[in-house]
Amino acid sequence: MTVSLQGKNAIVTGAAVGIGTAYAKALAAHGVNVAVCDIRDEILTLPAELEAYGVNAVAWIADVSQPAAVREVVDGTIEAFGGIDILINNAGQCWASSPDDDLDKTLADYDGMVNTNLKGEFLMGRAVITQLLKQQRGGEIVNIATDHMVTCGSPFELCPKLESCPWKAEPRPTGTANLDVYDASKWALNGLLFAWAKALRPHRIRVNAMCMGATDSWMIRDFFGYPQERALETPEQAAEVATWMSKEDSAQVVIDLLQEGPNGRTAQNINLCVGRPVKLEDPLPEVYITKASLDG
Amino acid sequence: MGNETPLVGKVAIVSGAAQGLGHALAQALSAAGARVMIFDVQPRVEEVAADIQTATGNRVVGMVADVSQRADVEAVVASTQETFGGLDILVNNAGTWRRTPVDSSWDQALEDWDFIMDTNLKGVLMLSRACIPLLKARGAGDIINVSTYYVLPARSEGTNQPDTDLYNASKWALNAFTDDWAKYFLADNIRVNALCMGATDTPMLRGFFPQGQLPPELAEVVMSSEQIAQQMLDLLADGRTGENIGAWVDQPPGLPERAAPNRKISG
Repeated sequence: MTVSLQGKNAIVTGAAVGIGTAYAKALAAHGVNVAVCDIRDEILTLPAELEAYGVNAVAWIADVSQPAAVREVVDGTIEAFGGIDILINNAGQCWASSPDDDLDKTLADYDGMVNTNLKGEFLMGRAVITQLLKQQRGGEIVNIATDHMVTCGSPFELCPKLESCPWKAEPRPTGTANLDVYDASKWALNGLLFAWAKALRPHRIRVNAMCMGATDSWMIRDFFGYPQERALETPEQAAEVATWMSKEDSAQVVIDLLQEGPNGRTAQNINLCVGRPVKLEDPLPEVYITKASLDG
Repeated sequence: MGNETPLVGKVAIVSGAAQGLGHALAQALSAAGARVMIFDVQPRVEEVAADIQTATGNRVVGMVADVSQRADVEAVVASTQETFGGLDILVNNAGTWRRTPVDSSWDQALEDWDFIMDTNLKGVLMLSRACIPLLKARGAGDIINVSTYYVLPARSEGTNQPDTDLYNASKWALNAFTDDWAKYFLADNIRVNALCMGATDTPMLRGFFPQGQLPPELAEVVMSSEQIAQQMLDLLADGRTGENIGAWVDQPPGLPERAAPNRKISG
C-alpha cells in the first residue's frame, strides 16, 4: 500500500547541487510542487527544470542558519502553494575539524556546520511544524543525517549481516576523528528526530532521518577535493567514486519512505551504508524510543 | 582498602559546580586528592569552593564564569594553568535544561536555541578545545562529558521527551565528542568518556516538578549525585576510553563491562 504524492507541496533545502537537486527532481517527477532554497545563486535556475515535470516550483537564495531567511522560505512557500506537506531538511555543510584546533577555527566550524546542519534543520523544522499543525492534514519531515552516527544495525544486534557487507564480521566504526564538529551536528539530529516524532505522531506527522554513507554528491566530492565532473576524475578517484552510493538511488529511498504515508514508520534513522542495497528496508525495531511511548 | 586518594598530584576542572551534580563531582575529586578548579555562572561557586577545600584539605578554586562565553572559558583555563601548573581531568558538567515544546512561538524557539545550545554544546566544545593543550602537555588525561541515558538504547519509555527537543539534541551531540575524541587522542593517553545518567536527585531534575518536589514514586528510586560521583572515580581508575557509561535507577551500581571495539557508542 503506497499513497500518492501527487499535488502535495514540499520544501527541499540545499537543493542547488548534489543530493538536494536529486531529491527535488524526484519529488517533482512524482507530481509534488517543490519550493527550493540554497545559499548558491544557481538555485534560481532550478524551478524551470522542476516545472518541466508539470508541477509548480519556486526558489530562494537563503541560508537556513539565518532565522529571517527561514521565515522567508517557509512563509513564501505557504503563499506560493497554499500549504506545506513535506520538508526535506537537506542543507548541510561538511569540512574537516580537528580536536587540536584553536578556538578561532573551532568557532568558525561551529558557525558553519552546527548552525547550518543542526540549527538550520531546527529552524526549518519548527517553522514547518507550526504550519503542519495549523493545517491538520498530516505531514512528513525528513532530516538528512549521516552514517557516522549509526553503526551496522544500530545497534549491531539488529544488523542483517548481508553477504555483500564489508563490515559483517565487525561493526563499522562510528564517527571520524577529523569531523567532530560535523558529527556533533548530525548526532544532535537524533534529539530532534525522537522528540518531534513523539510530539507529532498524534497529528499524523511523521519524522524520519536518512543516515547515509558516502554518496556521489557535491558535498562528498568537495570534501575529498575531487572534481565535480566525472570526466575530470583520475582513475584512482574514479575507482573510489564507484564505491559511493548514487544520489538518485538515495532519492528513490526518500520517495518510497514518503509513499508509506501517515501509517508508515516514524522516528527512524534509515541507514544507507556502503555495502548494503540502497533501498528502503523494513523498519528496525525501536531502540531509543518504544512504540508504546510513540503512541503516548 | 584501596588507595583512598588516588588523585593526589592531579588537577581537575569541573564546569557548573555551584550546585547539584557538579558540586558532588568536584567534592569527590577533591576528596580523592585532586586540586580542583570549579566554575559556574552562580556567584556562590566561590563559597562552594571554600567549603570543599575546608572539608577535604585540598586546594579548590572557584571562579564565576559562563561556559558559553569564550572569554570566560579562556580565563578559567589560563587561571588553572597559572594556579595549578597544568590539568589532568576535565569534567564537562555545566548544562542547562528547559522545556521547548514544538508548538512554541518562533521568537521563543530562537531564544531556546541560544539558551540550550550555547551552554550544552558550544560550551562543551569550547572548554574542551581550550583544555586539550594542557592535557597533552601532561602526556595523559581524562575528559568526562556529562550526558543523559536518552542516548543509550531504550532504557525506559520516558527518554527523549517530546517537549525537550533541544536538550535532547544537545546531549546526543556529545556522542560525537566522546566517540571522535577518544579515537583521536588514543596515542596521547587522553581518555574520553561520558556519564549517561537516568534520574539523579539534582536541582535540574527537581526543576521538572512543581515546587521542586519529586513525586513519591520517583523519590524512591532516584539516584544520588554521590552515587554518580563514585562512578566517575571508578571510571577514572578504570582507564577505558570512548564509552557512554550508563547509570539508571534499576541498574546495579558500578561500572558496566567494557564495550567491544566499534560498539562503544551505540548509534
